Amino acid sequence: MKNTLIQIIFISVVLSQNTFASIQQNCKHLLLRTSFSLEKKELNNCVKTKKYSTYVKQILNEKQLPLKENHFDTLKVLPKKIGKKFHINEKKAYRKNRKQENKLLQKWWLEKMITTKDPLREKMTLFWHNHFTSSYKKVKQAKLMYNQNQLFRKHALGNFRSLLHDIIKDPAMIIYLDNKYNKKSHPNENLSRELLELFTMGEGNYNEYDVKELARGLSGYSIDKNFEFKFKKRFHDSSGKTFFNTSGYLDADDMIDIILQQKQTSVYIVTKLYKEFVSYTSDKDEILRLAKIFKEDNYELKPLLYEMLTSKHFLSKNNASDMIKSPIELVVGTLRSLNYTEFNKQQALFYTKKMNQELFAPPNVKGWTQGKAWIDSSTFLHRKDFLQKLIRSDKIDYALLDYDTLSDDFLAMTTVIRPHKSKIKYLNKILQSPVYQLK
Amino acid sequence: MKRRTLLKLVTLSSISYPFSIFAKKLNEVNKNKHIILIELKGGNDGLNTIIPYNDPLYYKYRKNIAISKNKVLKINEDIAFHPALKDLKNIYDKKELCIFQGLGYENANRSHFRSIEIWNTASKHHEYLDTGWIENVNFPSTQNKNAVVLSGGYGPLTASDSVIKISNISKFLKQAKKFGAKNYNKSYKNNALGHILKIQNQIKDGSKSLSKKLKNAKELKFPFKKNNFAKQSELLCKLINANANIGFYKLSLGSFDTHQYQLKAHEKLLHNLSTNLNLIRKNLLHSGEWENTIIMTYSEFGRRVKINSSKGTDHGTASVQFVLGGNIQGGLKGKYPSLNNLDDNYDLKYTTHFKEMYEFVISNSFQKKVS
Repeated sequence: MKNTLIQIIFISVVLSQNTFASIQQNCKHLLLRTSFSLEKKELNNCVKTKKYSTYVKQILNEKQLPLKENHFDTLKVLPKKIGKKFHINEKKAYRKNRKQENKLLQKWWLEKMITTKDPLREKMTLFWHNHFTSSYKKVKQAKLMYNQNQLFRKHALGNFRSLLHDIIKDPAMIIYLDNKYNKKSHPNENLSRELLELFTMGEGNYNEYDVKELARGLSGYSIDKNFEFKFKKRFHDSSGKTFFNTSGYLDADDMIDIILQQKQTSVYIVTKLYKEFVSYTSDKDEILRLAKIFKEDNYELKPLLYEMLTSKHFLSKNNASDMIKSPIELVVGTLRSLNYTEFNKQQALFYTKKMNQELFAPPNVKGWTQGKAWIDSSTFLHRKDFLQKLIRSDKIDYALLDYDTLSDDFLAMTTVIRPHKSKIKYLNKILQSPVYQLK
Repeated sequence: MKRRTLLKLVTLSSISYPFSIFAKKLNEVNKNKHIILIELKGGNDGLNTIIPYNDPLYYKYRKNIAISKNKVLKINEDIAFHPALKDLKNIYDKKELCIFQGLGYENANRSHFRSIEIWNTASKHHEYLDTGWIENVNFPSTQNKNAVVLSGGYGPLTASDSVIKISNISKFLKQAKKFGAKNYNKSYKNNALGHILKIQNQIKDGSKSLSKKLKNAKELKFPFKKNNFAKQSELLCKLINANANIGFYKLSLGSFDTHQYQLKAHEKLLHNLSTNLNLIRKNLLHSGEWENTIIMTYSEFGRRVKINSSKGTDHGTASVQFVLGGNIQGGLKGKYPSLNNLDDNYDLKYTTHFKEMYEFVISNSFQKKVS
């Protein structure tokens, strides 16, 4: 029995090296990269479509369901209780309340990722969260972080131009990058600089003058006392500006359209998406090809992602299983493939934090560094620890797992793992294998 | 004499830079040196760290976040320590602390990420390098190449083959035990997998030697507090005292990115830095390791001269850094940048290349005893 298994695995290694990718392999690769995990049911759905590209279209066009009412929809922004007139106990209670709300928020999103039927949308929401970063540690109001998160979800697979116009008016962003202090008389360059450096064009494609001009354009994009966006005309610098060869009475929205006219912007965003889905090593020609499509399609994301996910680069053997799962992918993905939705969310959040990815709290405005940086001697131990803890639970329904295909059902790459007669111990060996960290 | 020649070389040619510690074999000394790098994350405000308290321009630009003349701890007629740096002032008075003034580099970049990358790799402003600067130094054979990162990224230790990251030592050792004995071979086509296997081997090798050494470690004479930086400092002292075969340590403290309400936050950070450095010194003096130790702070940039509208400061350029240790000749290095002669962006012009500090740290570590 054991021998036959090893033989089968061995044969499949040989086969996979010599044949063109089957739809089965393409589907597996697609799921590993676009959803959080390999779910057998989804894999079968994909294979059943017979044509890989049909399935790609299908997941891109998954209808956005109206969001279920939740606690945060009705939550009000917490009124500030930090002034002198408040008693120390009031301040304490306020801080405690704020802390709890942030925890609830993290739990809410994690749960959503574990249970969603539209994982690509959640993955893209996470992608935008890591692109247009904000952190609850600075914004402090869970409600504002929630609203920003919903904005990402709404535009997740929509239009980058609309998202960009919306994000500069997003209260959490305005707080996170100090734009509420950006006034005509006292410009604050933080949002302007990061908008050019990290959100649109990338370092080296603009100069200090552009940063100053855009900061002037952004002045007055602020929030009111209820934490809602407010364009404060008297703080806005409405005098003439020159930005990338265009002169006029430009405000930040005009300037964003100018940024989007620059080819570099499409190249920058496509490169980031390429590194998210295809490979850590970018292919210049392929990126230029995709960037052209992106720009010509007025920055619509679906046509771009369709091209990307059906490209020969995406499906190339060289790029298969050569990426590292992010902490969220590891935790959410494992819970999804084990159908273990009951797992203590607080504990799951504790682990992702230890693995260096705390939701709603990227380490800085550049966001989490994807790729190899996820795994170092500290985070790697926490990854293994989580997987070990998980498997000890009696709440996992092991009967749902197929012993004969266990290794292939969990690992991105065909790997020889000596089976153990106990299914749990066999699964443990699979999850502890370094290959399980790959996608 | 030799040191002076090295430094002179450095100052003369700031464009094409002969980094002599990379080219020249350093003196062989018979002890392992503890080289400690402390990252002040976010860009520390040099102007409010070492304060030009006699310059009216300082008070003009800094308005409500200026430190008043009667609170500063004076060094000379021109500059003074921030009052929270009382302990560092004492170490300075003992001539065990150098203040590097006006540190920066040409074409200063004001992005956190790019600028710290330049400091970490000692690259030129338009050059992209993959390895940390420590990796390129030609150390003598007595120097232990193992490195431990106690907080933050790998920084100057990036791409080192023998660096491990430890946030909690007892957990680290406990978890590492589960790894089994076998080492994985590294030749894999798959890059991601290759990386994981490399880390796996580092954990195994590192933990084996550490657990042996730490078993006999004594409690520290002068205890640390419980905040994050204090914990890093504590573990640092324990590892040094345990003689743990480590040459390099990286710690970090932050965030110094004080865009708003800088005054209080900055004071707290400086106090944290100062008190813990003092405790590190005291503990290592007690164990006799202080004379083999050198500590250096670094940060991606200083901050804008003029305050912004939120009682804070935006990203700037040149700043001040500290070097301290039991075998250095303390004092002032470089020149304080002028507030009267700012660049086009109204930022300080750097007076001293940051590589001069690196040069100083490394060449001093391998000098004969300074008397």
